[in-house]
Amino acid sequence: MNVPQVSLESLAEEPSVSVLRLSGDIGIEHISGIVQRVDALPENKRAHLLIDLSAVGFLSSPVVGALMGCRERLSRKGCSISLLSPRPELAEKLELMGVNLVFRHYRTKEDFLKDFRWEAREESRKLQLQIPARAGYVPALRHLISGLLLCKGYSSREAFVLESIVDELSNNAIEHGHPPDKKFCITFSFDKRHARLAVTNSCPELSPEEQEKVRDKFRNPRVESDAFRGRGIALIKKLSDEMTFHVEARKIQVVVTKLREEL
Amino acid sequence: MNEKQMLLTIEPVKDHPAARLLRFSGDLDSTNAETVTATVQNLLQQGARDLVADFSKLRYINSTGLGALLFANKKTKEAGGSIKLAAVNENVFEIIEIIGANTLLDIYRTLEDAYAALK
Repeated sequence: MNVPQVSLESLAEEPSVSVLRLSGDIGIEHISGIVQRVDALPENKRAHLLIDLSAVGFLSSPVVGALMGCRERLSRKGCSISLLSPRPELAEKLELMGVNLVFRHYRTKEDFLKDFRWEAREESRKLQLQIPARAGYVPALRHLISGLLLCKGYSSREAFVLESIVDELSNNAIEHGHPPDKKFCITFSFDKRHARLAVTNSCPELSPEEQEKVRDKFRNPRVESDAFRGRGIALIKKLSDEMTFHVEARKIQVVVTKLREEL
Repeated sequence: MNEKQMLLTIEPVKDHPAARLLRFSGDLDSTNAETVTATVQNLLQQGARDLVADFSKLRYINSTGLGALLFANKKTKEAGGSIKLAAVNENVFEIIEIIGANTLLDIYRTLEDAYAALK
């Protein structure tokens, strides 16, 4: 059996993250060492403590209680705390004790880093796709966008709005762009504060007058009250916080930004 | 019609022989809006005058779907009837409202309210 050890160090990939590494069987005799190290962490709102349990064979209930206390004191300093890679038997025990309801826990360091960078660094996620220019592909695309947003904590209303925007932009590219290469490109990026969507399509060559006509359609969308189609651009403008467009002889790109309403 | 995205069923309405209940479920979008248009035209040709659309299970609508509703509104009015939307969810209502179609369409809180408004 390994000699029980307690150590504290910075995470190489994210220096504001301290890693409390525990190994072997951790019992009541280790509590003071753990508490001393954790309580010595400086006050820092962006700091995080990751408790690496990957090498722990046994963790006694008093230690779990002490970690709960550490969590409480750290949260008063503005720091957050999570658990990393408990072995299956320990994970089961922690779950039975309800620890998983109190601490965020991650299976791998990579999972933790992804989440930490999203939460603390407000890192964005980005997706770029080329889609066949057929209406039948659009529902899957908009469900994908909506699902990604819901997974990252956007509300169902926010996801619905972005779903509507991607739907209207895609249908606009298909129905009005008539892309000769039969596809359009979507670039979607989002973080905790905003989402940005760019839809680009090729088009049959537009004369300068035709280009200006397209720009005018984006600037001043006119809606006939009983027309079957033609409300998409007006809807996008009202749902988004910013809409810009770039019209060239053979290419049209529309870029929409939507700020989050519910942070 | 995109069968996976939207289901549309038609039922008679008790005590209103010239009315039909259209139950929508799923998403009304560019892949199936024309089916709605064709269905409405068929019903009117068969003698229906009033249509009641139950939206309680309609999750999503886009501008083309809304165009189909406005088309149905126009055609039923030309036939001396109306289309009444009932139980519209919050997100779908917002799309209808943003486009300004809430001033053109008859919208009711419940199916019972829509039935009560049939002449």
